[in-house]
Parts: sequence; structure tokens; C-alpha cells
Amino acid sequence: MTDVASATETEFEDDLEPSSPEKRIPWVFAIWLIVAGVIGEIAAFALTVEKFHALQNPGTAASCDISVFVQCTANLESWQGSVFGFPNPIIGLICWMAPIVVGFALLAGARFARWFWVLFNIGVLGAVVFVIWLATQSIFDLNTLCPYCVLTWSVTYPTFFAVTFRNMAEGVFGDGAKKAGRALLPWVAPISIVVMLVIFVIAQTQMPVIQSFF
Amino acid sequence: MTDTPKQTKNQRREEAREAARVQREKALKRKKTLKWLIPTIASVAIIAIVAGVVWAVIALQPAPKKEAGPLNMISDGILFESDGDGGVQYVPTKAIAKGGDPVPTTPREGILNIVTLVDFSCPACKSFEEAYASSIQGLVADGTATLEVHPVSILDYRGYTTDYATRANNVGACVANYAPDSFLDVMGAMYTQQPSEGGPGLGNSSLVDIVKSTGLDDADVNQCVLDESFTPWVTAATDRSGVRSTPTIIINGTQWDAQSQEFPDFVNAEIAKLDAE
Repeated sequence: MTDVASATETEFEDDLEPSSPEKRIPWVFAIWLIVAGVIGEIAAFALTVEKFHALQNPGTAASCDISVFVQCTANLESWQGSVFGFPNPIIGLICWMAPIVVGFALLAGARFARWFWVLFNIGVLGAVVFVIWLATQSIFDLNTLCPYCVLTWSVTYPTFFAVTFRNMAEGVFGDGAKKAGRALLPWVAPISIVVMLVIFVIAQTQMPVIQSFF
Repeated sequence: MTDTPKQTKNQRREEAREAARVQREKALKRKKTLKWLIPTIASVAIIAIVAGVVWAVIALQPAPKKEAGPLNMISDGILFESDGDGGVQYVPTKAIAKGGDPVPTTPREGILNIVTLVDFSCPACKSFEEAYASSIQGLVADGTATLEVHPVSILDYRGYTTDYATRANNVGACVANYAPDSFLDVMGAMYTQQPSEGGPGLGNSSLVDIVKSTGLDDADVNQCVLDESFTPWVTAATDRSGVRSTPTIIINGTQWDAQSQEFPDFVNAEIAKLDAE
């Protein structure tokens, strides 16, 4: 039974792939890229506006300041918040456009060259590395969790996993990675949820995040 | 399906092939559905479990114990009035008994009844104290006002990584209970030596040092601070106050809106109301 099923699956997918490209629009993947991009843009925009607010009214609280531990003023004012010499959210404003455009292009049936997917994957890898670094700085150095930053992290991880697994599954990284990619792709959501939970638990060991809400 | 004997061998073979194809597609569809369904269920399950645990932790938090309160704080606050000689004195009261409820202060007619709900660990309360404590105490001294100070602790784990707020306000309760004449001095010292927010706050022995820095060295007070004797009352009183931000200032039943009015203007407005009566 299982032998038959796996045999038929490869047969089925093999003959489907080249012959009917219009059926190959990856709806879930494309819509996720758009949703993640829009959420990322919202978070980056909110942080940019808060930065303006902080510059105009130094010393006042930002709308995202909930407690000493859940706040964004400290993050925006830190050197880590402008690590390249300008506020980080500007990077978000520019870069979150990329997944939105790619998502819509996929919905429209676009197909990209392999080098494009490699570049896109490098982009989201850069994003995830940056976000990991920011999270460690925020939790261990600044002792804060900033709501819009957390929102950004929470869409960065699934985007990174989705793009990477998709590229593996589609053979961007060679045939060897195809099988693993296909197996991992459905698990993007649970993996991302676990990653975010781990971050919250680590944060909780450093500061009273949960208590600060009550 | 009618299996007539007229069917040729080819037809039967076609039918069998078709049936096999349908079977295969069904199996494939089922496998594809499961491939996405299982991770989705896993996601929902993880979120549900975490939400359940967080809810349980919150719901199972014990209600604040109704332990006995400190002396001179029957209203959950300590009341100060003019001593009739240009000074300020506290108004002695009994303590809230174990399991009992506070008894509100009866407002004085024709003067300002100033009630302050303050957190000894709160930076905004410190600023308020620095700006207005002496003028308020001046109003009390000359008989224009009474002052009722309610220590509440809202910054545990919000402003500090420990329960510093509750321990800091316990100092107020200890002093009210054993050395009420020193209450305002100790409160001032608690503000001037307030630790910076975001850290652990101060330990109890440092709190004793702050009390001693005012010249008060009372064994009972020191022990009370070290033992955190009135922290159950602090928690219960904070709960009863319903206050979410400090300082909350109320004069003759009207709450000061710090956003729209300077404090002296608020006081003058309340004095004007009294004059109009």
C-alpha cells in the first residue's frame, strides 16, 4: 500500500510538473510572502513613526511603551537600534517590499531563474541573522522586549523557513535537498511557533515579561 | 455498474484501469491532505497548550490574603492634619483587622481633602514629591488641607525585576505602624534614594538603611522591613485601590488629570470651588 502510494506520488508529480504549469501557482507560499511583507511593513512603519516621535518629543513615552520591560523607546534609542548609522526600521521599510512583490508575482504566475531564488534566499537569511542578533541584544543587553520588534521577528522566521524549504523542495540547492525540502515545507508554521516560544522563554528568564502585563 | 457478458476483454481491462486510477488518486489526495493537516493540527495544539498554561497560571493566582493592616491606616492610607501650631501631625487610627475591610476617612468640611495614591518605587511619584511635597505639607500645616497617603505597589515586575515595589511600600506601612511621626520623612527619603527602574530595586537591608538615614532607628520598624511584615496588606490595599498608574491624586473627590492641568492649577481650582460654596 505505502509502496504503491509513494510510487504513484512521484509518478504523479513528475508528470504534473512540466505539463501543467498553470496548476503550479504556490498559493499558500505566495500569500504568506504578501502577508508577512505587509505585517513587516506595518511594524517597520510604526517603529519609524515612533522614532520621529521620540526625536520630536525627547523624553516622552512612545505608544508601544507598556512597561519598563515591554517597550520600544529603549530599543530605538540604543546604538543597536541604529546599528548601521540610521534607524533599523528604515531597513525594514525597504526590504519588506521584496516578499510582497515576489508574492504577487508568484500569484500572477511568474517564474524566476534559479539565481533569483538564491538571491532571495540570501536576503531572508540576512534578515533572520539580523533578527537573531537584535533579539539577543534586546533580551540580554537592553533587557526589553519591544512589541513591534517582536512582531517583525514573528514574521521573519516563518518567511525564512518557507523560502528556504521551498527552494530546497524546488531543487534550487540541488536534487539532494529536494526530498528534505518537501518534507519540511508543511512544518513551517509549527517550527516558527516553537522558535518564537523559545525566544519568549529565554526573554522570560531575563526579565518578568508575563508579570509586567498584569 | 452492469457487468454484461457482452463486454469485451478490452472494456474490462479499461474499467479495471480506471478503477485503479481513481483509487490511486484518492490515496494521493489523502496523503496530500495529511501532509498539511498534521502540521496544522500541531500548530493549533502548541498554541492551545501554551494558552492553556498561561491562562491556568493567571487563573490560579491566589487572591490577596486579608492579613491585618498597619496601625493608623484604617482607610488604607495614613491621614495628616494641621497640629494647630504650624506643624503637621498624623491622625491615629486602629489597624484593619485580619479579614476586615478598610474604613474610609470622613472628609473634613470646608478644606481640601487631598488623597495621594503613590508607589514609593515609582519615578513619577518621586518627581511629584520633589515638586509639590513641601507645598502640600504647607497647606496641611496651615489648616487649608488634610493629606492622606495611600502606598500602593503597581511596579512589581513592571518597573523592577523583583517585587521591589511591594517591599518599598511595606516600609511605609511599617513606619505608619511603629513610628508614624516619621512617615513623611521616610517617604521623602524613599524617593530621594529610589533605585533606577529596570533593575532589581533594593534589598530589604538597604531599605532599613534608608529608614535610618532619616534619623529613625527603631528596632520594630527595622525588623518589620526585613520581615516584609505588611506586604500582604500592601498587595491587598493595592488591589482594593484599583489604581493602575501613580501618582493618582484626588482632592475632595476630584481626580487630578495630569495631562490637561498643572498641579498648582488643580489645587487652586479646588480652592475656588470651596470658596464658591
